[in-house]
Amino acid sequence: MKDWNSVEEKWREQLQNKSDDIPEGLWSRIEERLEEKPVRRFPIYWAAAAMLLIAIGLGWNWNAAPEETRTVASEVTTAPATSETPLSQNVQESTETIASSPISTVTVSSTSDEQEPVLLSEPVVTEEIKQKETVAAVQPLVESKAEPMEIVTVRLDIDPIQEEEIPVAKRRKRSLFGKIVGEIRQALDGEPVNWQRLKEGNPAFENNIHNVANTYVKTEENLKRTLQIQ
Amino acid sequence: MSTRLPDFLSETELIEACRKNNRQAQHALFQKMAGKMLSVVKRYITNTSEAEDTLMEGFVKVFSKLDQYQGGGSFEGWIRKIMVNEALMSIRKNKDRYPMDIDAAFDVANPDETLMQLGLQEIENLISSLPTGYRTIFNLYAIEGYSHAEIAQLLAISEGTSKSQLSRARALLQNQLAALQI
Repeated sequence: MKDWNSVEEKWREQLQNKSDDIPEGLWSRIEERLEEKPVRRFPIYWAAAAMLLIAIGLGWNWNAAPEETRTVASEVTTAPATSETPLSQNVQESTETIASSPISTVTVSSTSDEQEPVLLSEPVVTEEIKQKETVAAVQPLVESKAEPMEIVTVRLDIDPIQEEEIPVAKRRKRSLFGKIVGEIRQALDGEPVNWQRLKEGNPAFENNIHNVANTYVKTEENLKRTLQIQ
Repeated sequence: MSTRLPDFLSETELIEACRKNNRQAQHALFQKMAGKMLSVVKRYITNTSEAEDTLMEGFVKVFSKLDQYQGGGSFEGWIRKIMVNEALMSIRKNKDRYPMDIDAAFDVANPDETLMQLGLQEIENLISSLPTGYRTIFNLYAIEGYSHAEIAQLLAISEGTSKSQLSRARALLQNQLAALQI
């Protein structure tokens, strides 16, 4: 008695090597398909371009706090300049403290000849000044940072903005492509980018942005579809 | 089909040339395999022009995915798999749905002795007389040698459905034998 498995095995053997006639023209159709392959790659470039635009857009949003970064930068640059003033203050403070010390009491008592006792006590005083300077020079540096920094940041902020405003005025005369390149350069320099400026008085460009977004969505769908097929 | 094609020493050499996009090599591979593959596709798709379109799509896929062939199994088997997948996709695209009933498998009577003596053309006629769903599962299980688990995954159906469809296909083949007066 035969079972289905043996029937199917026999059929499989018979069908395995069966060959049908190939219709004329099928190869040329395949050849055509193989030739048109590079054309199908275009959407990938479009998708890449759209991704780049989106990435720059996102980068602009993340650059939302430029003021803070500026003050941080000014701290670094102004620190050496301000270090002189607290040092001189320290010297004064140290001399004051020295004045109150037992050695300098001689100078206070002898008001008529000020120079002589000072000269006498000089070697001792200078030694103490040096010692106290080294101790005092470390501490006031941290305390005195806050005061001069405010002044310096204002100075830094005023000048560069005035310089920046000039190219903005020039940029308005540029073509749309020039504007985009300028904005991208600004983004690469880490400066905030105002994309709204590009759209001002240019409704066509605003439409183009929507077109790019639509193309991106469409290409994404196409890619998904092709990947699913494959 | 009298075009003179360059002789490729071995299958490996032919595959390598095809990978380099050598058009003559691709033509040679097509000539070598197309007849067999058309026969495979026709078992799934009864409409001739649809079967030819599917064969064409299958070859385009073979040439574009040739880098993925590792050389482990038989090259013909690899191409055959691509053709079967392409045929399944074509069936799905043409809204020819697979049967989705989940009836339990029922016992089919033992096959008639005459089924063993059928010729090639008669077997093909008998299989192509089955409805698309039954035919697909019968082809995948009985001819291609896929397991029910693999069929379930390929067609997004349950294993139970695959088993029940095979039983029904076998029963139908038995009935069709009498109807076709083979």
